[in-house]
Amino acid sequence: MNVQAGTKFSELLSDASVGASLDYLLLQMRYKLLLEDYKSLKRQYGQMHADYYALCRSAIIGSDELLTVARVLDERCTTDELYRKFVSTLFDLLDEATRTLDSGALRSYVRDVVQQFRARLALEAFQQSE
Amino acid sequence: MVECSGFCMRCVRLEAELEREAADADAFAGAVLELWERLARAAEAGLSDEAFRLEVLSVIESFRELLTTMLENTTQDTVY
Repeated sequence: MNVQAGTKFSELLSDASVGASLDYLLLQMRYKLLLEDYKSLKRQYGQMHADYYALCRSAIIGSDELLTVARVLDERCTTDELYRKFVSTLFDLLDEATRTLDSGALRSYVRDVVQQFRARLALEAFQQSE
Repeated sequence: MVECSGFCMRCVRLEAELEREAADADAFAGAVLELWERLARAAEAGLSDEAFRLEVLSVIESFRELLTTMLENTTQDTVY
C-alpha cells in the first residue's frame, strides 16, 4: 500500500496487507512480553527460594539431608512448572499465528520464534556453565 | 531438633519423588526440543504453504498431547 500524507489510521487498518502486518507485529510483541514475564518470574522464584532457605535455616525443622532434598525438589517443581507454562503459552501463540497470519508471515514467524528460542537455550546453557 | 540420617521413610520417599520429577522434567524438555526441531525443519524444508500449515498444527497438537500426558502422570504419581 502506498501511504499518502493525511491517510487516516482507520483506512490503513482496512488494508489487508497492513492488517496482516499488524497481526504479525502483535504476535511478535506478545512473544517478547512472554519472554520478559518468564525472566521476571524466574527472578522472583529465585528470591522466594532465598527467603525460604533463610526461614529453614532459622527454624529448627530437621536434618541437613532432608533440607537438601526438599530444597532441590522445591526448586525443580517451581522451575519445571514455570517452564511448562512458558512453553504452553508459546504454543498458544503459535496456534493463534496459524489462524491469523498468511502463509508467508506464518513461515517467518515460526523461523523467528525457533531462532529466538534456540538463542535463549544457548544463553541459559552458557549462564549455567559460568 | 529432629535427628535424621537421611534414610528415614520421609527422606527416602522425597528422594524417590525428586528422581522421578527430574526424569519427567528432562523427558518433557527433551520432547519439547524435538517438537521445536520439527518446526525448524518444516520452516526450512520448502513445503507447500498448506503442507507447512498442517505440519505446524500437527506439532501444536503433539505438544498438547505431551502436556496432557505429563500433567496426568504428575497428578497420579504425587506422593504427598
